[in-house]
Amino acid sequence: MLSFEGVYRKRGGTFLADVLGDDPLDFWAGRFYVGVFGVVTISATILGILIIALSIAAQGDGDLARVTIGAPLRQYGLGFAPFYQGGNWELIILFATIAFVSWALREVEICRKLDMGYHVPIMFSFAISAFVVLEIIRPLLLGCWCEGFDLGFTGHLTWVSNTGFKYMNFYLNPFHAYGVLGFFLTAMVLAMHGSAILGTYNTNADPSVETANVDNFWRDYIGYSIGELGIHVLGFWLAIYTLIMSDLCILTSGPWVKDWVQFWHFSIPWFH
Amino acid sequence: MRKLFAPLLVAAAVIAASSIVPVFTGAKAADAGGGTTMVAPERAQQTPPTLVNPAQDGEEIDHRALEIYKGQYGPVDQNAPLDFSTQPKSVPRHYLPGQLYNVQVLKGYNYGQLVGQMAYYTQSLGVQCSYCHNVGNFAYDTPTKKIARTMQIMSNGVQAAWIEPVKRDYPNYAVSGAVGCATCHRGNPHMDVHWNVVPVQYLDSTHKSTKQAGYVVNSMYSAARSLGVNCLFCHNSADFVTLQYYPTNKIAHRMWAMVDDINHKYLPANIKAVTCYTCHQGAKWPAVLVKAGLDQTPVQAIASHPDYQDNPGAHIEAGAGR
Amino acid sequence: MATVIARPSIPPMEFPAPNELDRADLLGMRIGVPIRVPLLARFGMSTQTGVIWLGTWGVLSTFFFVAGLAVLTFAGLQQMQGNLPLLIKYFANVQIQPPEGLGMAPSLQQGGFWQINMILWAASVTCWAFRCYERCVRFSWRPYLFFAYCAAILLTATIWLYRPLVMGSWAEAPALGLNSDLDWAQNFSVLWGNLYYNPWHMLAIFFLFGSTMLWGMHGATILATAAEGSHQEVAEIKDMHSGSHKSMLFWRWTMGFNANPKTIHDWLYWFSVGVVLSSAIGIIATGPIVKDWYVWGVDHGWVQQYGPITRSAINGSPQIAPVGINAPAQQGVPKGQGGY
Repeated sequence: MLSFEGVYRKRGGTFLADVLGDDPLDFWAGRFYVGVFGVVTISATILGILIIALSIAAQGDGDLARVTIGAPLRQYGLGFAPFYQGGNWELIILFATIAFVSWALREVEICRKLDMGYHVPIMFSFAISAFVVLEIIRPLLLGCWCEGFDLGFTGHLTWVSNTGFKYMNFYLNPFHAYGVLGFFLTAMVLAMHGSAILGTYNTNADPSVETANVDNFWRDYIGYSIGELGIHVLGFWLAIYTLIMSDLCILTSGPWVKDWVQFWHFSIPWFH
Repeated sequence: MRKLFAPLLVAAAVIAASSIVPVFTGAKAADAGGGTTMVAPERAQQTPPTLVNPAQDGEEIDHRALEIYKGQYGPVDQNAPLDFSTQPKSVPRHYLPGQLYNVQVLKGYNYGQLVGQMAYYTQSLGVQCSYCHNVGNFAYDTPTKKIARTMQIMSNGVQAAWIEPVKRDYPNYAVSGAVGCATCHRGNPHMDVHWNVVPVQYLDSTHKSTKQAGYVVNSMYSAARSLGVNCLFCHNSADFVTLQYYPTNKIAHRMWAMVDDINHKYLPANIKAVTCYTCHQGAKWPAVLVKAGLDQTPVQAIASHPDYQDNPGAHIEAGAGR
Repeated sequence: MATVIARPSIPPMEFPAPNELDRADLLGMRIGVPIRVPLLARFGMSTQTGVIWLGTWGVLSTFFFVAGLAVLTFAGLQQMQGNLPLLIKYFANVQIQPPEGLGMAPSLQQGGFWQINMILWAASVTCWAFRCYERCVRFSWRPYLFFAYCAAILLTATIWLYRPLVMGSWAEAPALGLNSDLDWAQNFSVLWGNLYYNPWHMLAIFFLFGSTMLWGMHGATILATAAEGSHQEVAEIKDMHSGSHKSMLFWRWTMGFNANPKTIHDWLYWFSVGVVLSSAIGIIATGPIVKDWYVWGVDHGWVQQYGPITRSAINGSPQIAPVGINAPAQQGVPKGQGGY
């Protein structure tokens, strides 16, 4: 335990405690908090890893970079495929979703114990949404599990490449462009914030002088200093914006637009 | 600040020098000659080789030249005086209906079959007889008649040299039918030109700059839209360059060479008017094909032409399938 | 349970008095009037906008940037036959292409505008780097921001300068223009065997998505504990209070590992710098070293082989004797059997 940790480790405030009165799973295993959702996460993860291991063994190709668990073929639609021809993929997606959601709920329990805001699980839910949109919602909209991405280190990259080219030029997807903008802005703002703190911590005995140095630098350099709270607000909302754009970019490709070049047809210039 | 100034200045000087040096060594940007070839610095002095159509290969369709070309050929002026000194010997001064004169390409056709073929021409191009003929003397040669002969040779030649081998080598991708006038013309004597495609030599991806790769990618998009498919119809996008094993990829290579061949052989030098769209017009197989191997007439034209008695055979199959 | 973001009281307008470093600059002055924007306080952001530092390097940088913009606008107008509304309508489709080969372009429209603009914007970016360093020194910052900015310049220079020099042609660099930049990214990947299989591209994506993930984690953590002062990070680094305690414990209990108010910023910084550094390596390796990333991946066992590989089609270095488009075309092809 960390030096200050003992004061914060309190029982109570968990989901099972609300339901059952007393929560037998409200304990820490070493540094990890368990809770009912911890048990669910671990179980789903172990089951998922088991299926992955079986699938790798069945393929006979032990190279972890190359091995791929493919989505079922189009002929199975939204139904159950045979285990080694896509059923394993479907089960892994199921267990992964359960594990991710359960992880988010466990974070909620921890937030309640520490009496802090729910921002982290909310942010994580947006990240889960990207996975769910790609692997569950979009296949449901398009009518077959084959539309989800294959599970594999290089295998999923081939899926990304093929899906992009299926819609001709994915760079012209406006939501993709907004999402890319979000990612690059996030990286830039991250560098700015990281270097602001790393550049000024412990350069002066008085922390308010250090803070003033940060503010004054940014005002001189770019004309505005967003403030120590504001930068975290900006980062939080930039990340959410990026994830929302990513969700939209893949949801619109297939259910709505089949060809992102033709989408812009109204703006193509004709020179004579 | 001062400590960094000197090294940064040195770095800036090196960068500036490295971009000016090529000017002094005389390396020239390779497209100074007007083509789009890429030449490495040590070969900068080599003259680019002569291409068949040096001014226009790889460049955009010259729409103005196309308009001029189209404007030169239209309905025959029926009131123009006939000048028999420029005509072949077989053209009679007094034309007798029901006789065949000056037949240069459609040899071996009897009168009825020939007229049926003419009916097919008029329906395919959406024109009247007066578009190619002087109606007072059908044997008289006109510029549009000469083009029609070229087009007929082209139609037969393309089918024999390019389409039949594809059908033979890729029976699973074959459809019954042959290209005919209507495949491209679709009721219009002058076709609109849709999207340029690069010449077939550009499909060789070796020794390309990224900028030149862009020309090829644009062509690929044109081809895909012309067939109403996406990139994955011919390609595995894991590697466009080396994964060329799909049959559609190999067929496309041949089709590309065919388009080049047609543009070189049958069209004037500066009109690169034939592209994938010309025949396919948004379909994987052109929707308008003729019964294979024969120049046949549509049933309606046969029935409506007053001079025609026999029906030599079949008719256009619209929407040929497998 | 606290979910309320602490809203700071609005402090008075601040800007420092000039010190001797400020006065050493010929154009060293703070310009403008500070404008208060009260709306920003609702989002927890500082309400003071302005003043901004002028500085010689800032003036030079702005001048070069605006000059480059003017050149681009002029070049775009030429492409639109002088029609300004048309330029605005088709703004995304304007493309100012680089010339082929190295050396000066044969004319303005065939690469000259591109080269002029490159020189102007390279100067602008360099001057801004000087400005960054100078302000870091003025406020006694360790030059982390300067190095991050230099890393970004390194990536840009790799794409627009170093790699074209190594490959022997300015045409390897992107054209200037919205759609043409996007086209460059696609054409580059198509030509060099699909950049997804480039390990430094993979690393760059890992750092990029990781940056967004870390921002989500860090931003959310601070906002969740801001009521207890965790957002005052330089102060918390010296002396941690309950906000930082809770932040650290949250992650320790969740994933078994936690940073502290200082080291989290190491993670943030090096992830974001990692994006541009990995990208730069990945770009310079494409062409001079690896000709086809998919085939490279197959040969090194990373990637499944999806079908027969036509190795002869791989793009070679331009220094090799050119064939294909530069090869002599078929001679003696008749132009038309009808004589046309």
